[in-house]
Order: sequence, then C-alpha cells, then structure tokens
Amino acid sequence: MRSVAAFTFQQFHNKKNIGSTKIRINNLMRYWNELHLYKYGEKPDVMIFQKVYRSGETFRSAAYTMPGEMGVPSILDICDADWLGQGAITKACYITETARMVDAVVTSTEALAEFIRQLTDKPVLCIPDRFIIDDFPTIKHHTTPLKKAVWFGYSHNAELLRYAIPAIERYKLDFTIISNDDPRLPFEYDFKLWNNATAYDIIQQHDIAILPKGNRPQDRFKSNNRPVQSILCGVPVATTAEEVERYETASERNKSVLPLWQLYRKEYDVRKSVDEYKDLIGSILQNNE
Amino acid sequence: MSKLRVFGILNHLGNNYEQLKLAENYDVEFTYLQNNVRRWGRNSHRQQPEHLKWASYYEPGKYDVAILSVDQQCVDPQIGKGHLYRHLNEVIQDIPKIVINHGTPMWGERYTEDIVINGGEIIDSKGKPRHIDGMKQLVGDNFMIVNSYESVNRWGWGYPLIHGMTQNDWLDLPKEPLVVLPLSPAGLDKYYNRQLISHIKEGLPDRVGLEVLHTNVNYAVVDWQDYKETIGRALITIFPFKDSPMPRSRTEAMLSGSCVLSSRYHNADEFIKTGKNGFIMPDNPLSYIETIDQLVNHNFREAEIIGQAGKKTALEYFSEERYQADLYEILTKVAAGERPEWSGKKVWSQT
Repeated sequence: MRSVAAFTFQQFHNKKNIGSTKIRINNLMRYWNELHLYKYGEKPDVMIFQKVYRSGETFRSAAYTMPGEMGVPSILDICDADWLGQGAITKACYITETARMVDAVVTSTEALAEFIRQLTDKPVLCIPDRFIIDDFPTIKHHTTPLKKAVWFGYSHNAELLRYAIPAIERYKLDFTIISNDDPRLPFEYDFKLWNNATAYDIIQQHDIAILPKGNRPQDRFKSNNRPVQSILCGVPVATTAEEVERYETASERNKSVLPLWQLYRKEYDVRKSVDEYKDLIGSILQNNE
Repeated sequence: MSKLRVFGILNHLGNNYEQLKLAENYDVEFTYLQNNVRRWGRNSHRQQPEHLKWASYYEPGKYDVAILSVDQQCVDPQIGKGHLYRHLNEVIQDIPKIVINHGTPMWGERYTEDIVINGGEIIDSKGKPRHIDGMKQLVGDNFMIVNSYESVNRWGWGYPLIHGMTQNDWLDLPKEPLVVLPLSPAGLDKYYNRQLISHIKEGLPDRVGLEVLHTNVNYAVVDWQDYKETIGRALITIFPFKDSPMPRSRTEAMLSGSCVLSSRYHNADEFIKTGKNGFIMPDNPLSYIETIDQLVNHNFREAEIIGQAGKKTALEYFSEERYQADLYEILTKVAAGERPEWSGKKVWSQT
C-alpha cells in the first residue's frame, strides 16, 4: 500500500475547522486508510497539497517552494480560484508554477479544471466535492406550508443574500443563517454558528435553502457543495424568487427533492472520490516507473 | 572523527545564524528541513550561509544528531508553533535529539509555571477540560539545552549554552542621542514586561523629549544592515524584559558599543555592573526615564565610555570562539550517546 500524505490549507495556515480541508481531504480519510495528514519531516509515497501553492518572496516572507520539490509524486488539489483578488498581489499563489511543478492537478469543478488546463500539460482532473453519506440525517418529509428558510456557508459569501431579501420579506420567511461569523445583513434572521456536528440537523429544520448564485468573478469556479448538502438533508434549494414560490407547498418540496436525493446519495458519496483519486495516483506512479 | 552530520530546522534566525557558523571552523555539516513555518528568504535579517543544505524530508541513516527547538508556548498542542517540533520528534527516531528550549516556564497570560513544566488538566475558556503536555513530557528523553543559567533552575533541568557572536558583524558607530528598544512586537506580554515598556515609552518624551525607537513598532527595520546601524548609533539601548533568557539583542548592543540599561534577570547583574559597563535597572519606568535623562543630557561622554566597557565585557564573555567550542562539545557528546552535565561554572566566572 502507498502512503499518501495531504498537506492541507488548514495545516499550512494553522487554522481550525476549514470547510475546504474537511471536504477535500478529511472526508476522504474516512474511507482511505493510506491517506493521512502530512507530518513535518516525513517522506510519503505521494503528497497532496490541498490549496497549498508555491509562493513568491516578499518583504514579509520567504518564498515557499515545496509543491513540486518534495522529491515524491505530488498532486495539487484546489477548490478556489486563489489567484484572484489579493492572491494576485501578495505572491501567495503562483498557480502556473505550482501546476507545472506537480505531477497532476485535481479540481473541485470543471470550470477550475478548464482554467488550469490552459497553464499546464500535466493531467488535470475534476473530482467534485463529495460527502460522507452516513453523516446526513434521514430524508426530511415535508408536511407544512413554506415558512422556514436557511442559508449556510462562509460569511464572506453571504453578501449574495442581499439579492434575496425582497423575496424573503415578501414570503415572510423565518430565516436562519448558519455561518462562521454573523454577516450582519439588513433583514431579520436568526444567526447560528456553523458546527459540523449540528449543521445538518439545523438545515433539516427548514423548508427550503435559499442559496442565490453569484455573479462575482470567483463564483463561476465555485463548487455546488452547498446545494448538494442541502438536498442530502432533504431540503430543496431555491436560487431565485421564482423557485421560492415553487416550493410553497410541502408536496412540491417532497416531490422535487426525492429524485435528487436518491441521485446525490450515489453521485456525491465520497467513496467515489477515493476511487478516482486512487486511479489518478496509480496512473501517475505507472508513468513515473 | 568523521564529519558530524546535523539535521535541524530554522527556528530563531539569530540563533541559527551563529549555530551554522560552526561549520566554518569545525568538521560539521548542517541540513535543514524545508517547511512553510520557518523560511529563510533573501530579505531575512541574517544572510543564509552557502554551506547550509536543505532537505524536503528526513532520511534515517543520513545524520548523526538532530537539533530541534521549543519554547514554553509549545506545551499547548493547540498553539501552532509546536507542530514542527512535535512532528519531527515523532519522525526522527534513529539519532539522538537535542532540543533547544528558548523560553522559560513563564506564560502568565495562560498557565501556571507548574502546568508549563509538568502539564496537567486545565479548563479552557469554554469550560471544557483540556490536557496540556508540559515541557517534561514534550522533551522526554531528548537532551535539553537552555539559554541561561537561571533557566536551568527555572525548568528544573537543562544544559546551559550561553550564546556568542562574531564581533565583526556589529557596528560601533558614532553615538547619537538615540534610545533603542530592540524587541519584536510579537510575543508574550508579561515575559517581556510590556507594561513597563509602555510606561517608559509614554514617559520619556515628556521628560527628555526623546521617543524610544522600538524596532518594527515605530520604526520598520529595512534589513540587517539597517538594524546594525540603528543599534550601532544608539547611545542607549534598553532591555526591561522580565524573563527573556539572555537576550541576544543585548549582546548585539553591547558589541556595538551602546550603553545598555537592563533588568537584572537571568544573571545579568553578574556581568553588568551599574555605572561601569552598563546599568542594571529596577522594574520602574521612572528609574529608566531618569537614568536616560541623566545620560543623554548631562553625561553623554560617560555613557559612551560605559558603552565601550560593555563592549569589552561582551567580547570577553560572548565570543564566537567560546560559543562554538561549547556547542561542538555538546553536539559530539550527544551524538556519541553521552549526556553532558553542566559543571556549574558560568562563562563570566571562568575568566
């Protein structure tokens, strides 16, 4: 068996409870015994750098060049366009250099994969965000008219909810925001701190999730992980005011969510990601022989 | 004896810089682990020696001894700065390990000294019980070096290695009426006595008209040359620290001919004599302010003479040669499986 070490965004920045690290690495570790978190000094057979890039020299810090220089086959795993925004001026994300130095790039969306394929001839593979299906409660059976709605995600993305405020007020929805921080939006809502242990149960206490799609430059690269999680809770997703209207009745919500729930339980089972990752590593190792 | 192969990690740039110079005079080869936490860049305030090798992982069988670093904050597993030590201590199993403990048990903002040394259960801010390892558990059977004699007493064990540095690295320039505090804005508060520092910084302008130049607080140091010139031109440098074991910056200031005003802790009063080669100060801001006023406004030339006497003291006790001989002895003995014991003699009582 090959030992596969993941050096995660969470480790690199010494943070806690990072969603991308949970989804991209920790979820996979549940079904992949050889995958473990990187320990300084170790020499694994394969290294995954999760949102960890080669970076440039600045007045404040020295360059970081480990991705591609570990001396073992390496994969870059990304789920955000970190070269946008501040990333472009802090030298913290040399995406081209990293993509060319590693043996393969794994992305969470096809949009990311398409962009990265411009930069490198190395294999670029989309492995979507997937989940531990057993972590979700059994499917919600809707019985009451539309009353409670929820939004969840990182607070810096909550600004997209501003476009939904008229609909939320028109339907007089009891609204909940589950996030890492209160985004302080100008309408009435109940704020709950995101907690991995309770988030799905809280989502399921609602009739719909309102997750507007964004038009920011980074949004086209974003994964569908929040709609998927909502459906896996049995809670349909509205992205527009028209969709909110559609889900007014319990029967419509039950009818629309059930086929998606059945499909997603198969399509977004993290064991599928583990298999895809193992296939990729197998082909890299075969090519390196 | 064949070349001594040392595996290590960048931790404290000034300390590592002097440590690596050992390879210029002894048959020693250093290899450091590349990592994201501690990196040596072209803008770092010490130049990287050409002989230093870098490795992306530890390879068993390639080295004779390892040097790792900790301080008191590493005892809390939730504080990131201990990760490098913890991981490497687990990964390196085939050679003896030396652990340089740069701190003391003082972490008054968080834990008692007993917890820092011996570990135990604490109740965190959310009311949940949490285990703190304690330095004894963290260091285990590794050979622990500390940076002052007082630190041996404070921790209850450890081998004191007193720093030394190259005289020629430091610039003794014409002294300006300048008061410098060479202390990073980062780090512990009680340990560095930042409350006292604040009072000195607040009171000095009113009384003397001078601002304290606090490095990287009210003056951004550009590079090492800039730092050397800054303390090299300072008539006075102040070190009101409560518990920093033998601050290197104090020796740097002394080698630059600056007149140092220092707290007495960690045996400073054994080699700094007030009015002769520096000043040992009480933990009182008015004492600092009054002394600075007297030196700058009424005894400028005397302050220069005292600075020169301090330089002579630093040359005598904190030389590169003495430090390298001590370090090499420790390295070779520990690599050979021995555990050297401190004789009880201090560098200033040996000459």
